[in-house]
Amino acid sequence: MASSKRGGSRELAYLATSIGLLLAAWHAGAQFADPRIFPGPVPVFAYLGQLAASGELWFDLGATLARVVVSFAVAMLVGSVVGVALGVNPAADRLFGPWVVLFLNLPALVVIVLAYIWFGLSEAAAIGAVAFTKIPNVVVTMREGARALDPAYSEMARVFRFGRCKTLRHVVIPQLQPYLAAASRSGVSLVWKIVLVVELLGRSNGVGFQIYTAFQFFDVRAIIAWSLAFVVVMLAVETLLVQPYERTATRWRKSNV
Amino acid sequence: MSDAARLKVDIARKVFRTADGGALEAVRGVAFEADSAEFVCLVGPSGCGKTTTLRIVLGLDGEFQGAVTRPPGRMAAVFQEPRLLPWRSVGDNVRLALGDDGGADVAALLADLGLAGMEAMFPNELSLGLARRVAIARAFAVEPSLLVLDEPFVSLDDATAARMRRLLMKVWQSRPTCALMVTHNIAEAVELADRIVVLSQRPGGVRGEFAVTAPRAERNADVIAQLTRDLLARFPPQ
Repeated sequence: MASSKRGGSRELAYLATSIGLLLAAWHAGAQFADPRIFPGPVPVFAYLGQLAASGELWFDLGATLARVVVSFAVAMLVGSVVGVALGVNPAADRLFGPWVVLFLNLPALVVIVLAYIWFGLSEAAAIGAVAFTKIPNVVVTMREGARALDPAYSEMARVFRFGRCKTLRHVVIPQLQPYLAAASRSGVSLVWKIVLVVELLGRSNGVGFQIYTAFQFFDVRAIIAWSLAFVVVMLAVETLLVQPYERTATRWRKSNV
Repeated sequence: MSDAARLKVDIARKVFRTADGGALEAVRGVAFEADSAEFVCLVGPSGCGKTTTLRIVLGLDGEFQGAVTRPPGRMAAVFQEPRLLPWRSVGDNVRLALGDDGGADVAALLADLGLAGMEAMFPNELSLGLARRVAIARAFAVEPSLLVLDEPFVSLDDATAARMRRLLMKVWQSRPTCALMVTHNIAEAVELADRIVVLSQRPGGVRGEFAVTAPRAERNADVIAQLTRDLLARFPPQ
């Protein structure tokens, strides 16, 4: 325990040095460039401070984060249900497997544009489009997970009359957990990038909208400030939510003797 | 003994489809009965359909010709591998089987099986012998009217297997139930059973039955050796 703590603080020192070096290189590089084309960290963070003080930062970050959360949840739910259904039912998989491949290769941009044309420039169309782009990835991962389900445990559950709910909660989902974790990990990073695109194309708030506005004014300082703010938020989600969840869910594996 | 509480097995025929489209007849004519507090062992050469018979008795395989009547009440199984949920603790593994209407006193059962103080451990932290004891605890916890055991002591060293047999007997005698156990070890069968059903080679059918009348307390090594010889004399290996 003590050694892992020391290892942790050493990790932290490396991380701080790494970020410090990046900022220093950025600052040094900016000295040689036109500040409007490539601003250094000082003006970018100053601008970020202004955005935070005016409240604009929190409003647009919040709007984007809400879209990420909802479309991620929809994609995970629908994708898991469809994926598991295909994984345990080979006939359905043969019938609908090609659909999955088709949708997997459909560019996100096409989905977004069609969603806006068919359903209007609405919040539902935006979120639906993002979820729809992510669903095939979730389906593929969860289908793999469902195929790997061990019949020995299902038989045990049948003999001991676990019933549907108990079997799902204690037998099926723990086996799918590594696949769920893999799908959510790649899901979060994919979804937030696509959310920026739907915001750019058809929303009037959010980080994507702000970046679009900055693009029209060729305001590089704002573009970098907004992206930095959002990357920090997503890193926080990763460290504060995803990683602790994975640690608890895989606790039983660690106890291997 | 009321007739309804008996286990009645009558499997006329069980055929498996093989991967290349052929048919493999695994069982032909396995019929026997067991009383509500009787310990019956199925013995026979490997591949004679013992495990297939157990799966049919447990209702895990419904595609066969014949009929199985189970005693009313719950079933429990001790599988060849312990089949504990690795992501749930020992205590949770046992309690999950209980269901809503409760069941046996789990703490007392774990203590009887020498598992006191291990409730919070995960199955991966246990040896195979201990994991098997948890599987036995889980089976008795549901207070089954039918207990099915599929070679529960296979791949344990002799001393551990002998200790496990004594534990199983202790727990079963204080909570008697209709028990059906498969084993390929004839000495194990004569030590534990009231009656032994001997199966033939594939397709497995009943060759005959062998009643073990000696009281369990008197079944020492000599008696077990003598009974094993008697059984093999009546049913010489095919």
